[in-house]
Amino acid sequence: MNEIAQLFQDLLADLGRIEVLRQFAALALALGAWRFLKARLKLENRRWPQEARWPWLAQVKPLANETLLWFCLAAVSSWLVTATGVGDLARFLTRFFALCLLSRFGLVVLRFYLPSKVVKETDLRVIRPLLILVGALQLYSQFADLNQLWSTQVLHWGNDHLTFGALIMLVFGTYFVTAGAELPALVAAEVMRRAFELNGPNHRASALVIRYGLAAFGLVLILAYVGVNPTLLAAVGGGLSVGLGFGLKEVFSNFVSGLWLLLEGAIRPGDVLLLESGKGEDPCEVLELGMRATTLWRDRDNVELVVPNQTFFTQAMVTYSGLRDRRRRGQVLIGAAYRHPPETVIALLEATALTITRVLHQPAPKGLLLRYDDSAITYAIRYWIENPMDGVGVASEVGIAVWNAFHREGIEIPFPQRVLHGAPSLPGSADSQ
Amino acid sequence: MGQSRLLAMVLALSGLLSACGPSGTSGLFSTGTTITVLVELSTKADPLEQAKVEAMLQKQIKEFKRLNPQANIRFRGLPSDRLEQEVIYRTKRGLGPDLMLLASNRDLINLRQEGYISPVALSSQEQNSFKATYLKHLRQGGQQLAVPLLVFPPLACFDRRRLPQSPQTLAAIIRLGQQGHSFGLNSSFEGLDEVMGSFGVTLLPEKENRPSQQERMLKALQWYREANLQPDISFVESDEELRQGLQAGRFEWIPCSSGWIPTLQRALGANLGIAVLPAGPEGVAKPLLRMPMWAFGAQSSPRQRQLAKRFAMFTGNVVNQRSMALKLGTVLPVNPTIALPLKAYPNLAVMDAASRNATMTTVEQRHFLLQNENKLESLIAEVLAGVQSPNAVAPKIQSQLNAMTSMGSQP
Repeated sequence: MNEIAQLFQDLLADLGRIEVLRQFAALALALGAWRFLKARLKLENRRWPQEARWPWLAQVKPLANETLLWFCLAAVSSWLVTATGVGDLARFLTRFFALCLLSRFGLVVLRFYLPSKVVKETDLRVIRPLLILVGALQLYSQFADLNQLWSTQVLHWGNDHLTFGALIMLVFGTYFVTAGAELPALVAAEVMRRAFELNGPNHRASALVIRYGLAAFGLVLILAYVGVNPTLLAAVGGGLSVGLGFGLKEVFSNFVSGLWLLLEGAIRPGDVLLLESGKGEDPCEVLELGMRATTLWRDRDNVELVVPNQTFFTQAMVTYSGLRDRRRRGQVLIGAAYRHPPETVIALLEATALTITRVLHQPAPKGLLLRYDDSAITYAIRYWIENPMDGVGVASEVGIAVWNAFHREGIEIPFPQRVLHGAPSLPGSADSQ
Repeated sequence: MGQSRLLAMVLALSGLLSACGPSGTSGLFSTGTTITVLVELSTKADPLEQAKVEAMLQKQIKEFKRLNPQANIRFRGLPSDRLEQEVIYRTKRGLGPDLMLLASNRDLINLRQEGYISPVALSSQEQNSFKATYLKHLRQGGQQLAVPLLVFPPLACFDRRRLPQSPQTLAAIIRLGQQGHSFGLNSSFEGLDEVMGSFGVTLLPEKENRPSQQERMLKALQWYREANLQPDISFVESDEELRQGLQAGRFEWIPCSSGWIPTLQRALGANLGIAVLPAGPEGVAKPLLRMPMWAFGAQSSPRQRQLAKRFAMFTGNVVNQRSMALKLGTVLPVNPTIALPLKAYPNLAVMDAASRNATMTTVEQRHFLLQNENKLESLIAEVLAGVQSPNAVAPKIQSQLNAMTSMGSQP
């Protein structure tokens, strides 16, 4: 660690060199010029030519001042290099600023193609930290030998050691590999979706599988770079096995279940499952298949349910979005009086169901006479809907439409009736007397 | 805009520091002065020798810092091929090294023209710490471009078990080669010059073009051709091949540098013999002297320059020079006031004798040489390969030397 402290002390000493300070002073001048120009030009507030014609201009407009700053920095650093021959530090800072600016433009472009939530998360979690890390290391390399720092040993145990570079790779590399795999996975999944015409759930599942695959591959590469001793890995693996056998059993089981479900494709983000609850069965949509648990969304009360992956692995599940299709069949039961001809009632039911927007015309709704009950003939109108989550809502609409149709056509929905007949009076009774 | 405000503050502060800082300020964040010392690790040099020299320099720095607690010296060794790159990289960023220990074949004129080094002013008392001839060879236009650190004299190294004595003349080499003794010779410029020097010829441009030079060159080339015809006399291209050849027993005799002694001794032990290089028809050999030198950076503040000079002078003082010569046992001091105990150290005595006959290149000659080395080497390579006869090549070399001299490449 003393070596690291010495390296940073040297870095500070270099920052105080007169030629270095001169470059910083030149950049400060560029900054002053930029502030002046910014106040004069008001680029972000004024209306740009063709702004109405090209909507993308509005997206890049907030970056106008930063671009202007880059122009100022580039002009000053180029002048410094030409005039004095010493200005590569200023040029480096300008180039790094250009890189940051380029990343902002890149994010604007990505927003056109990817969900803005993903882009924002990638920006905050990956791009900004990565720029800070790369910037810090590159800045250091301007002053000192980064290779030397990279190979400096910082931790020792037994005969093994960990270099600064290995430590950076372990800490930051692991973080960036896990956090940064999402965006490339999404892009790759999008390419696959277009190439293989994947449906929504398959597309999301492939994105997740690619993400895990990228993260795993990255982690293996990091371990190989760090040079983890295979014996040590075996020892850790052995210890982990014991740990898995006791305390981590559930965690590991859930993780493996999640992976298996993804690979098998039994449950994918976007699927609709029928989850049994105390109050009956509720359709839930799979939002995310996580490492440990799956997040479901239940529209009835708009709650998110976090269900351990193992549950899906060990229990039978009812899904509306399995191998065949995502369509759900709904049914409304209704009774009609005995005096109405069943053909009339069934035709009316089928015609009524078709008036509901969310009921599919193909397959066509089907009316059925189910049984002869005490007070009425019980009919069923069965129909298909596209989104399984709409089951209850569509059933309600169909029910209301049927009531209105029956009312309009004079078809009675009977309530249970009981006719009581009095027994004839017996001879010799008080009445007869 | 918060980020740009922070950037503005940082840059404004640095601007303020730049404007207010005295020109002598070297380290605003430390109390003392910091200098960067780059040491060229010659790719031709013996790795063991380099390690020893590097360790010795580290020790010198430690000792210097003990005496100058405010001084901070950053020491970094770099291979020859990376040194120039590093110097350019650092200089373009305003971080040029303050002091560089360069190998003796560096082109100081070029480094100065590019603005990587600047001359150092030495008082007459400071000049007395170095042999006048050494200083003279590192001067251009009356300005001192570098100061020497140590001297590595060229020698002959041989395996005593197979060759009891080093041949005294170049003719003896051919004679012994005919008798089955194996010799390794260097076909690089330094190797050529060693042989040429024995014939009284130099491949470096001289102020006076002696009329008999061409005749002597012809004899030297003829010797080359004859030596190359001997199956047991081999010409190799690198020092490394020579060293390994002697260690592995492929060669019984090689021209060597005093710096190689530790490595060769490790392999041959007491069987390693060292001697001065064999003489030629025109007298003793006059090979080139290897002399690492301190050159001073062009971007140092006055305080950094002062510290760099103090350190360079520290390495050249009597105590340190004597200590280095005796402890390393492979170098000679550049300080003229030192009298080494040559009787007690036989190796030093041989080295001392070898250094007396050796020649040195001036900065102008070195500049010339680095520009034309390949042309001269290829001409001589053609003689060795039998492509051209010595009679054909000698006038070509001479005319080329004359042309280069007349073009103003020489002082």
